[in-house]
Amino acid sequence: MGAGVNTPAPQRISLAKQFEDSCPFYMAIGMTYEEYWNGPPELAKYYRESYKVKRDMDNQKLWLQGLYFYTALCDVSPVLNAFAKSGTKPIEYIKRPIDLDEKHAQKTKEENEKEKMNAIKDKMMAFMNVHNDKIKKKKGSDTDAGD
Amino acid sequence: MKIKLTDNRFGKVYELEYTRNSVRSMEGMGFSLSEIQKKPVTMVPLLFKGAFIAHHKFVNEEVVNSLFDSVSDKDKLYSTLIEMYKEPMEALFNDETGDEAKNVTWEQE
Repeated sequence: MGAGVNTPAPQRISLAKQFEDSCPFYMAIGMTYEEYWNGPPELAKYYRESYKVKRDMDNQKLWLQGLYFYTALCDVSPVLNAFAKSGTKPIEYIKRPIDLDEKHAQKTKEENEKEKMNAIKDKMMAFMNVHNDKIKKKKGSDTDAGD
Repeated sequence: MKIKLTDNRFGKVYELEYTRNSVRSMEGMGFSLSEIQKKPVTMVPLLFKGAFIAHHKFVNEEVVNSLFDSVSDKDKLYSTLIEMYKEPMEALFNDETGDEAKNVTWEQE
């Protein structure tokens, strides 16, 4: 007896049944009943693609939220240490949200560096002023003593 | 994909397309794409008639039959209609897009 003799004939697939089965999914992702049944057929493909994009965006949001939680936990962790010295304070939570735009993030980084440089410059200037004042005072007292 | 069918005898233009609803109705009328080669005399007119459901649901059957008898380049029209008929199904179940579809190719030797 041949191998395929008792193989049942393949069942006819009803497209209508498959369309009906898929309809709730497409309605759940925002397609209207009218669009699904009477709209251009390719519309379903774009709804499906947009659903994937939305899902990825949600995933990104959740990941970012996890990152904020993680950062907050790390910042507060010195206080949570049972053997921490008295007076230990938590690290300050990040001042600004994490920049997601790469170009903007680069700009912010440059601005932060500039700010740091300016702060160092101000300190140097203040130090120089104090030093110059001292020199001036010393010179003044020297001339007074010479008179 | 749509077809613009022009009836020069009466100056009428028909837009032929298959929606999921058309496909469902056609199945109800007994149409099956897999049987088109076995029963072309029954299935081909149904395929043609079904293309009117989306935009010209209430067109008289006699008019459709007359268009079917008079239409030019029938072979090309039927193969186009078959491609169009597959669209509602492919849009739902075919997930290949762009470069992914080019990853696996085939040719006849």
